[in-house]
Amino acid sequence: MDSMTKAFEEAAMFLPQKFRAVAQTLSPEKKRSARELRLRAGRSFSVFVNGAEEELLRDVTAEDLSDVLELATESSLHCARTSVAQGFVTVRGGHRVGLCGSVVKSADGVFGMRELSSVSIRIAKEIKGISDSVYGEVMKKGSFRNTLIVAPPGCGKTTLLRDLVRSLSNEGVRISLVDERGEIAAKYRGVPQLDVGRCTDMLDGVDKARGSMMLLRTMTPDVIAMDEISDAADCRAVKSIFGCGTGILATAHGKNLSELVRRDTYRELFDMKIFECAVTLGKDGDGFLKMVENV
Amino acid sequence: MIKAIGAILLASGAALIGISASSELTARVRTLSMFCRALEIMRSEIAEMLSPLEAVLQKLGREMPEPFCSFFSECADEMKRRGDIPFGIIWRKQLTYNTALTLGAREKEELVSLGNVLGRYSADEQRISIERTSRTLESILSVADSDRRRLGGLYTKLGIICGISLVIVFI
Repeated sequence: MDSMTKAFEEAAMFLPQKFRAVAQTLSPEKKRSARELRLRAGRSFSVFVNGAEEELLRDVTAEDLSDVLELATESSLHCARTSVAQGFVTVRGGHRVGLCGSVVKSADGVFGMRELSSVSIRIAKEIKGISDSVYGEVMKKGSFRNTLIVAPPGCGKTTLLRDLVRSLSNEGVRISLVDERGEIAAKYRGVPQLDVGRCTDMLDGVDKARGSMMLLRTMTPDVIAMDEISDAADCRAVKSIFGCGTGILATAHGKNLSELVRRDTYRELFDMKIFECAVTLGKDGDGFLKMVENV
Repeated sequence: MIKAIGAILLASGAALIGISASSELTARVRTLSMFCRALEIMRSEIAEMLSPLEAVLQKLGREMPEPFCSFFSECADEMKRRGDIPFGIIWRKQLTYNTALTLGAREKEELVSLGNVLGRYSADEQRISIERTSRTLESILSVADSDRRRLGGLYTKLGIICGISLVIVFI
């Protein structure tokens, strides 16, 4: 079984039995191309494949969504409180179960989610070698350049980041990975489910600012990698790392580099010339474009 | 001679029935008592320590006496083997098919209901459910213990008396 089909089968294990049975009847091509499995209460179970949602079964109940959440949290929802409050749970295999429902605040101020209305299982697929075409720009003349990967959602930023981390790490670059949502390395009981290289240390479940400082103090990294710097706190973390002389590899949502530079949140990072190299990703029909620019 | 052997066998059988009925009352009290203890550990582990359910069951599998340790260990092992089905199904199956546990219909029903909550709700909601089940089991335990005191000795004596009566009748 190839890795894409294996990833699909793994993700489908978190579906209740009747939906799993239907998912397993999909053709091998669809299983390989499927990006996501989604259930909506009172409506349908569908698969996102080849850029469109395909309905597979109807009459999804709220109980079915609760079953998915129970399987995703290994019957320990009480342990996944923080994650659920953020709207997702990362499961073994590195897949991400996204949650939609009614957000509530408990007596101790922690947000939670009740009455799930939708659940989506995003299938994690690592593509080894996807960073080969940009590796030479990131590691120019044997020296790491601070790199920012820019792309709209769903264009493969995380997949590219993961593969770059893997490639650098396997070349002996000591990488500290701040994996806030646990979806880059996707650790399960301490073991990364996705290949992030032999010299990578991972810290998950913590915000990037705190995580970066912890890793700087304890892991003496050559490079700190993080996904989706999106707010002022994340940008402050990047500036702190830069100030310590450690390399930075990060991603950000954006259409392209020039659009990102214009945004207030990121302007200071570019004014300080933190990033030397930017890799922009975009969709072109069925494929993805990669463009490397010097910042 | 054969009559005597037959009478003795009948007497023994009758006595055994009486003793067995008495033992069952005792076993039920022990089962309820052990489950109350287990629920207290569960409540503490889930609501206070936020321990994963599988770890809680493994702990109970180590700390409880037989046959309860086997019951909880089997639940934990089944969770590991069948991570693709909700825990409530695993729990119900173990409660139903584990013949070593002496559970009455009412307490079984309560425990089955609890299985549909464990690991599926917040720590607080699970705590409330565990405490409610605990109170119900304690109430059942109180009645069962009272039955054991009142009827246990009676069943044993009745069994022996029946046995002796049969011996007299046959001999």
